[in-house]
Amino acid sequence: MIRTIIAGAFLSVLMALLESSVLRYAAIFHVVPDLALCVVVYVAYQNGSLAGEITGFVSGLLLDFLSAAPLGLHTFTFTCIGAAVGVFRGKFVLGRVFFPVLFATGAVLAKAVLLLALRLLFGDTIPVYHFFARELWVEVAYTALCAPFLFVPLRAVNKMLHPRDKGF
Amino acid sequence: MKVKKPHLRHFGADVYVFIALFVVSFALLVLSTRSFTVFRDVGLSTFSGVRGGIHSVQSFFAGTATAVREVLVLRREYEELTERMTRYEQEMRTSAEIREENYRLREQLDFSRGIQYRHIAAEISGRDPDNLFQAFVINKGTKHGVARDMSVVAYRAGVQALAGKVIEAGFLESLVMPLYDTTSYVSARFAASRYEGIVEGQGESELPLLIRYVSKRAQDEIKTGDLVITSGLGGIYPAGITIGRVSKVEAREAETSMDLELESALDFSKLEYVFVLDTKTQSVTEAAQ
Repeated sequence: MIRTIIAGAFLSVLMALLESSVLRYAAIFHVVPDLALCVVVYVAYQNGSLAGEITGFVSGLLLDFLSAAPLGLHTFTFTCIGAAVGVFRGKFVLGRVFFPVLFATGAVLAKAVLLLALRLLFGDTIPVYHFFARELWVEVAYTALCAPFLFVPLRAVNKMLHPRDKGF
Repeated sequence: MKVKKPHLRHFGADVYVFIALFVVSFALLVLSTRSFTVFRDVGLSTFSGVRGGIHSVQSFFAGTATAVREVLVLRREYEELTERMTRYEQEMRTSAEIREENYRLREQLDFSRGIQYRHIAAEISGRDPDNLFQAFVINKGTKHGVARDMSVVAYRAGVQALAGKVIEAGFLESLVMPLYDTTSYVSARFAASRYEGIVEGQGESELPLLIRYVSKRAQDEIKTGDLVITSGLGGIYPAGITIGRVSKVEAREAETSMDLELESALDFSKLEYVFVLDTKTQSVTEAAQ
């Protein structure tokens, strides 16, 4: 499991660096997909809550270092999302399109809800999505669109790490 | 008769780990919102080189693609013209690009010479990976003298204008909060009438800046097009740096102060080069005197 967590955190940070540098040229209405979160979702679904929440914690912490976010913001949200998605491990076959899109959509919306909850506790230092604003739904759609394509190489990495595991 | 012991539910390791991680990440958030940021500088420094490396690779490939495209065009012209004319045009193209780049860099250098304070030139190499934050990344860090809370300015059409503030300084790169960020607050004044206010961002570069808490007595003196500059109060931004010009004046009857809209002096969508001001170090011009 340690290898999975390390690989997951590394890939998540790699996605964040790509979002920061390359993907800004492919932004839609200044919005880039949250690929770092997709990696955490995949690791959580394939390996369960324990791996998901630890991967979410580590990758969220590393993402906090790269971002202007308050330290602990992504750490908190990614940990919670990793723990929640891990509950669904093995419940159904992941498939190529439908469930990746569904999980990505749910993860971004869950992130928005968690930020709202944190805003109630910490005030204006926590930015939130406006649920009727364009930016949230563009991020949801863009992330959902990219998720099936991202899960393909993630499956390959998962097979390398767990050759005997057939996966979902 | 056997008495049944109450069945105690045992939680898995994942639940205990989640609780521990939840507490730790929450604690981090509590600490960080009270400006506990020493940790972050170390983290940013650790990754600052990696992001710079990706930017270098990206620039290399973009440059290579451009060079390949140009070679194809020149080969086609070579077939139509004499060998001598083709060589001449090839040289002309190369020198034109160099001249254009030279002109751009000279423009930045001329501006740089006019800055009163010690300054560090930097290039924007990335953006915040989170869509909720507007920070951009510059390719200079503590190694080059950048520190937190330093002002960042840029040059456009012969005018020095405020771009933002350094919020995190890693070893090789730094995070800059732009002027239009919702958490950006700049103490400002109107250049002509000298009334003061606080300039805030609205979260997007396309949206106008807002200058709030302007005395309502200024209503008759302030008009569209008036220049707004930094006031120097608060100690972060030096006084006299252009912020923008008034684009809309709105005074509500029931309120004691006015809010106005400003058009920023900078076009942030085209911003490539910035200058980080070090107001604490004695400037070159002051030292010469």
